[in-house]
Amino acid sequence: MAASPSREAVYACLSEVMDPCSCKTEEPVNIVDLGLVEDVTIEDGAVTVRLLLTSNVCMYFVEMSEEIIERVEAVGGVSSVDVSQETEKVWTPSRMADEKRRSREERFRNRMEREGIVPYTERSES
Amino acid sequence: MTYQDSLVVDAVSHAYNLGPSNWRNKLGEILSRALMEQTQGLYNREDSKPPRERYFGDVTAEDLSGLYFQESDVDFTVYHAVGIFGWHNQGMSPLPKGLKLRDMHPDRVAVYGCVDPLDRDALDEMERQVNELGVDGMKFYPASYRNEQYHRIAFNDGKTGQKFLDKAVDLGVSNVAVHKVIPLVSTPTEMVQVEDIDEVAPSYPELNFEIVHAGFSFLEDSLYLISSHPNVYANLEATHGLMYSDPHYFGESMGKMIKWAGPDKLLMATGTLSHPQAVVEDFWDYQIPDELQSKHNLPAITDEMKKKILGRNAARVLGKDPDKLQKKLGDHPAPTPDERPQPWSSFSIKEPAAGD
Repeated sequence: MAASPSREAVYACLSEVMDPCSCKTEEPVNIVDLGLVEDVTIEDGAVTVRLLLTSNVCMYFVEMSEEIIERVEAVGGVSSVDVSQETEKVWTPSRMADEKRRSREERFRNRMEREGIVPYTERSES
Repeated sequence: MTYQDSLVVDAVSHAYNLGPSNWRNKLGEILSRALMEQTQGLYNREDSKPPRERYFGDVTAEDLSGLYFQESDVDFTVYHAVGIFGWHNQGMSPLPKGLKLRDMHPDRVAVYGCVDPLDRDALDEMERQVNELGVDGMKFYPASYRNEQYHRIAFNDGKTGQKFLDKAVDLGVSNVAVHKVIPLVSTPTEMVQVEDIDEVAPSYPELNFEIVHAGFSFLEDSLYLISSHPNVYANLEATHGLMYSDPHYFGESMGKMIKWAGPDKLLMATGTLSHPQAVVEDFWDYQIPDELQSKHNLPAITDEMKKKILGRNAARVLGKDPDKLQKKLGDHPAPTPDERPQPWSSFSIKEPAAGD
């Protein structure tokens, strides 16, 4: 019987799946770094991936599911892959990888500085 | 009746018709069912969830009248028609219901009309809604879904959205609300980016732009807009729900918006996804955690700020004096908290949906 796939191997595959929406922005992000992977369970080769999407009415779920299944099925020891969607939580940017969040925050700070915009709380008339 | 002596304005109310009779296609069913599920956990605390049998169907003007003006301390509401017709036959929140609600409560309801800018007669229809129906503003969506494709509507694009801003100016309409930030069904995220508003806002100083769902996610984009343009506001519909689903992020979002843009730029709104009384009470009691204030150098939300966000700002955006409006509406008889009907009891029972 083949050895059960490792979580590391599964997550490595998930890290290759790009979030379709972010691909249209300046900074494409994979679904792991974006915080879309709610959890992964592995039992006797059967892998279940639960996603929490940025909008839980997002139909890109179908596209992402297909790619996840294709990639994870190729991992040694995987007998089946099932992808489901978390519907009782909402995605927020706090789920993003720290590095990605910091990158966004830095771009924001740079832009505000470039535009000469001072926070309301620091303006003399506030 | 005012809450904590604060004028309360729900800057977005909807009379959704989520029932199967309004589903145009599978996407309409998916969106309707998803919104219903969201009211059960994401937008309401445990004791204020709408009963499915009262919410999942054709919500009426009478339902909203009871919800807002009998069950809640809401003084005034702005009904937003939802002009998305690609998924729902009548659109999700039809304009006539808002007009009826205003007829029932002429001092307490404003109505934003809605058109699909890609419709051939959209400009004429907008003119009709303003001149004949007397709508108080316009609501736009960033994409049109037709022939199984999404078509972007951008406000810096002379072909799609911008001519409607010109029309608004011509008609003397001051308020333009635009759904942004949250993709609906598979609407590409690029279509809910806010950059087009950044480009046009300075050219239309006579218009107030409301970024609906500002602060819900990808906060920085909305922060930039409301901080740099005096005529751009954050409409907090859906963002308000973070109080329940992610109060920590809610604090960060609210704190940063106040820090950068100031409390005068925020408009509390529920979209009737939440019980408005619960939102009023919970926001009044809410405070940004100390550790967040320290970490991000955020201000505490003072009572004065809360009064602005809960209603005074929305009144000004509508061109009304908040003090005069509060005084005028204070004369309206309303149930005391003890006399108040049970949450959502004003909503009539709806027919069950297929498959329920």
